[in-house]
Order: sequence, then C-alpha cells, then structure tokens
Amino acid sequence: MPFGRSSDDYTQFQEVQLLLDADPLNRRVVDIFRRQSSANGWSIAKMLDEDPNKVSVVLAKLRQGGLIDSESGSGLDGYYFLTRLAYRLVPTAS
Amino acid sequence: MPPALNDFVTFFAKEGLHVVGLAVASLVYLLVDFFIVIKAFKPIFRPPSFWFFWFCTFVLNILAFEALSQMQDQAKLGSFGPAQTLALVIMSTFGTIAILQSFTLKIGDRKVVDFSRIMEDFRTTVLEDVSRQAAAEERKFARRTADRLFKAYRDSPDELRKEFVNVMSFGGRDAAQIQADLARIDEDVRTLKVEAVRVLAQRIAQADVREASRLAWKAETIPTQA
Repeated sequence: MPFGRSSDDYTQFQEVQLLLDADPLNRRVVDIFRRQSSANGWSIAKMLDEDPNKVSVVLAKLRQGGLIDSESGSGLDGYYFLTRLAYRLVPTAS
Repeated sequence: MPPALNDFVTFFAKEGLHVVGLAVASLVYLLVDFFIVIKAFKPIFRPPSFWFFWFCTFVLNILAFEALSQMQDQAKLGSFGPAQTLALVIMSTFGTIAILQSFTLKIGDRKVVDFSRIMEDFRTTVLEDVSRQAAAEERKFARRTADRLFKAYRDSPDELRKEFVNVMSFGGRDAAQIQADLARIDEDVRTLKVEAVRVLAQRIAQADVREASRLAWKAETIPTQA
C-alpha cells in the first residue's frame, strides 16, 4: 500500500466535490445513475426535463472530470455510466 | 482410476458439499451487493473481472471455513451434522467479507496494510466494468427497439414525425426548436442518404426507449394506427 495515498484521495475528493457543486445540474446528472446504472444523453435530458444542449455540456464536463464515461459515442448520442472514481468518491454512487 | 483423480474424487466426496456451499454463498453475497448498485442481474455476469472477484472471495472464504473448522475441532464441540456445516459456511462468508471490508494495520499513524482499500478499489473496478456492460446492453436494446419502430412506421413517416414531436417535447423546448431538430435530421438524411424514418426511430429510442417500445408494440398489434 503506497504511503500518502490518503492525501491524494482527499485532493481527488475535493476536486470531485468542486465539480459537482459548480452547477446543480452536474449533481442531478450524477444522481440519475442512482436510479439506473447507464443512460443515453438524450434520455438523461428527457428524464431531467432539461435543455439537451445544457445536458450535453454537463456530460462533457463530467466525462472530462473522470466521473462518467461513454460506452459508445459522445455528446447526447453516447451511452454513459459511472467510472470507478465516481463509485469510490461520490457517496451516493455505491 | 489414476491416483490423482482418485484423490480428487475422495476429496470432493468428503469436502465437495462444503466447497459448493462456499462458492454459492460468495456468489449470492456479491450478486446482492452488485444488484443494489446496478439494478439488473444480466450485466453482472458478463465481465471477466466479476468472476475473478468472485474467485478471490471464494478462495478466502475456503480459508476462513477451514480456520473455523479447525477451531471447532480443537474446541472438541463434536459434530451437529448439516446444520453445523451450513452455520460454518454462513459464518465464514460473513467473516471473510467483514475482514476484507475493514481490516487495516496502522503503525505510527501510517496504514501499513489496508485490505479495505484494496477491496474497495477492486470492487469499484468491477462495478465500472459491469456498468460499461449495462450501457452496452442498453444501447443494443435501444437499437433493436429502433429497428422495430422503423419497420412499424416505414410506410407512415408523417405519423412518426408527430410521435417524434411528442417524445422530444421536454426541457422547455418550444415547437420551433423541435422543428429545427427535424430540419437538422432532414439535412443529415440527405447528406448520409439514409431513410428519415430510421433516423427518427433511432432518436426516439435513444430519448425514451420505453415509449419507443410502446409505440412499436402499438403499431405492430394495431397496424392501422401506424
């Protein structure tokens, strides 16, 4: 077990929290994955009753932040799921 | 019968039930744990990492069972038959999980051994693999549903355009925005030389696969509707 890994965890945790707190829609999108383990970009927009363009931007940010990944495609056409980082650091994810 | 095979048969006859019980108990625990997160059983079984995770838990479970059996023999408690074996299987399974989830050895405020962290890293890796599998299955299901919708509405594209407007009316979008979506789709159709009905069916299935399935079923069972 490498030493000092806990402080890395804390930094990662802070970064994840900052990303989720930056926009309420970010957290709402992540919360979708509490109800189902994967979802298409269009279906996320419909489930949240949000503008697809806004959701597309959020999906790109969350993917860049390493919280979600896409099985195929990008933007609203992608099928998204939570990554191990999200399962580990977002308390509600697992 | 070769001696090695004979030994195996003798071992299995003697220990087989315990081993099967431990394998099943480990599997049941992991299935419940993963189902609560993934909310589906099917994708859990696909990724090889899940079976590796199960195998590791199973091997540790056997060790825990053997340790408990030794302790029982040393205490000279005697045997109480199958119920005792079942109790040992359950105790060793819970014991294995409890140790793996919480065992930490700290020296001078530093974690020298942290099984809980290793276990959690392993578990979240498997969860990601299972989620990826679930996403792949969802995409395939949407594609199959879009195919059904396409076949059902192939001869009535205007009806499907109406359904498209209904399905895509969300997020405060007005009719003009949805018409702009349709215009973009028409442009793509001309460029890519594909059928408009297919693209509309795909988009409806992506946005709301249940509604797409319902529309396909309605058109298949009542052909005049489509």
